[in-house]
Amino acid sequence: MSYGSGVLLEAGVVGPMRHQLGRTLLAVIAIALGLALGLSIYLINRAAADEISLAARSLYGLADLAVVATNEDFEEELYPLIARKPGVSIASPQLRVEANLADRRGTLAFVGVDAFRYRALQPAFASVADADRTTRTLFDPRTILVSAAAAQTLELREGDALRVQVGLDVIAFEVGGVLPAEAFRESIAMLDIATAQWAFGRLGRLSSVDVRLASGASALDVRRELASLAPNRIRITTPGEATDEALRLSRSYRANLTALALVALFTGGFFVYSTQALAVLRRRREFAVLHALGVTRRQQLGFVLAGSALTGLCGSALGIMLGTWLARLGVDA
Amino acid sequence: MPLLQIDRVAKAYGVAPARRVLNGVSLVLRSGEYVAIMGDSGSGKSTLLNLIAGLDAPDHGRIVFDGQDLAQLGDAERTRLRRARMGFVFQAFHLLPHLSVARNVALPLALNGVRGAAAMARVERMLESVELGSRAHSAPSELSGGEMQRVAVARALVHRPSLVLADEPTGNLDADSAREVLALLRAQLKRDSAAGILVTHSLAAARTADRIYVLDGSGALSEREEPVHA
Ligand SMILES: Nc1ncnc2c1ncn2[C@@H]1O[C@H](COP(=O)(O)OP(=O)(O)OP(=O)(O)O)[C@@H](O)[C@H]1O
Ligand SMILES: [Mg+2]
Repeated sequence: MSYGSGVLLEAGVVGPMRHQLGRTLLAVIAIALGLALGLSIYLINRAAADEISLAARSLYGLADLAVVATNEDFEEELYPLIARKPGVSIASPQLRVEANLADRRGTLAFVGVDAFRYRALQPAFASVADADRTTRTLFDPRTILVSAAAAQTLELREGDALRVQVGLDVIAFEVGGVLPAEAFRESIAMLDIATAQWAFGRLGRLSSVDVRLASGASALDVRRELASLAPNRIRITTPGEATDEALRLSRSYRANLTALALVALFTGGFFVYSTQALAVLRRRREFAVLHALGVTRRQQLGFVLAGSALTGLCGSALGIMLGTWLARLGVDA
Repeated sequence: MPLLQIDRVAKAYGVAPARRVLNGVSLVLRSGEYVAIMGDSGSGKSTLLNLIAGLDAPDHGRIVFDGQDLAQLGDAERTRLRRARMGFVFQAFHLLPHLSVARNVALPLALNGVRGAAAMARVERMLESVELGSRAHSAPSELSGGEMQRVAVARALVHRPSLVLADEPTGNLDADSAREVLALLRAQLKRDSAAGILVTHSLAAARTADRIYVLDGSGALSEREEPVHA
């Protein structure tokens, strides 16, 4: 930069900012905070939505539809009717029970599955290093598989015991293995469906049946057919709908966050506007002197805009770093 | 052709009752001439300087600078004319507080596109001639009033303007500093053959100029009949 333009830049832009360092820093921080808050909330929102849809997708695997109980469960006699419907290629029954843990606080979701059918719909499950052993493990009435998330939070390893409170009884399971993280994102334990029905006192009950359509079958027709089996006790969902539903549940919460982010941005913006307006007022005499020395109105405007842009740039850079960091904290927590 | 021609200029402020500040003021200034304008407080001296500088426009009459009628120019053109051809010294110094002494003096050069080593050399020489060569990197706040006004004189002259307008440049200075600044201003003007208008309350100050004019309470300008500076 030449000596001349350096003098101009310092006279009109950088000098005044440095001279009022406190105010300049305050404006930079205000922009940074507003942007950081807005950005981190947006990022957390997006991460949550991604997580929800990923969870739904991993839950469904290759299933096109799921027949789910409108209440807690439905009778297993519906299962063969579902499996035999034309257009249904695979039907995988499940019983899901939220059980109290005996030695620890909290509950864990136990998902009873028919290992062979479940495998056919869950490629991630089928690709487990020793899929056959894993499948065999599922048939053993005393053993369960736990998802990676459950293994981590409950600090479980293969061979550990997990005791569950069912009514007045305590049932002990052995952890037969840990499912890979891709297979199940939720914190769950998986066991044989017959074992689950028996252990949790839900003999003859199912909570859902995942369905894969035969190629060429019309999803709409199959859907209507299945729904007509027991209109009051079951409903049909798709992975997309399940995701939408989960997203809808968290939508109002996320809308609040978004509103908060907007308020933060607006407050930041207003603060910046008022500091700049104040700065221009304060610099009125300075501008009058500059005008007398031959600085045109247009150049004065340029000085003010360049100063604002510089402040905004510094604040935004800082805000983006801070916001990304905050979001990471929020997502990890 | 004279450098500056002021022709029956009138200026009033306010509406009903408008206050007539200048009333049929005429003045002709040639290149290299140095005149003083005296008058009581509120008589319109600053107003007249602002009109000459093109910072304000007269209600009646014409101001012609170097053949150009200021009223014919737009604000940006007048600003550029002022930037290139005029220099200003204010009563309250008005140095930019966030710039060093040297950069305050460099500003008119930067505005006029004089860059690099040429600009730096001229700033250095200008500061030497107002005896502030050693204070180039000081902040204005570190200077005395007299020193600040010498910096302002340097800033008003560094780009070699044809006309320097000084509005009460010694109003805030003690007698010794005032004498020093006035002597310096006159010497620099004469060295560059620049014209100057010095506005002042003080007869002693006015006597450093070639001619003295008086702005009276009715807003009329007349030459003071008194031999000065033989
Ligand atoms: N922008 C303005 N609006 C209204 N009135 C003004 C304005 N500028 C100056 N005046 C009035 O015009 C008159 C002349 O003002 P001016 O500043 O020219 O006086 P002056 O001779 O420079 O006085 P001083 O010696 O005190 O500086 C004063 O009465 C002042 O109040
Ligand atoms: Mg005045």
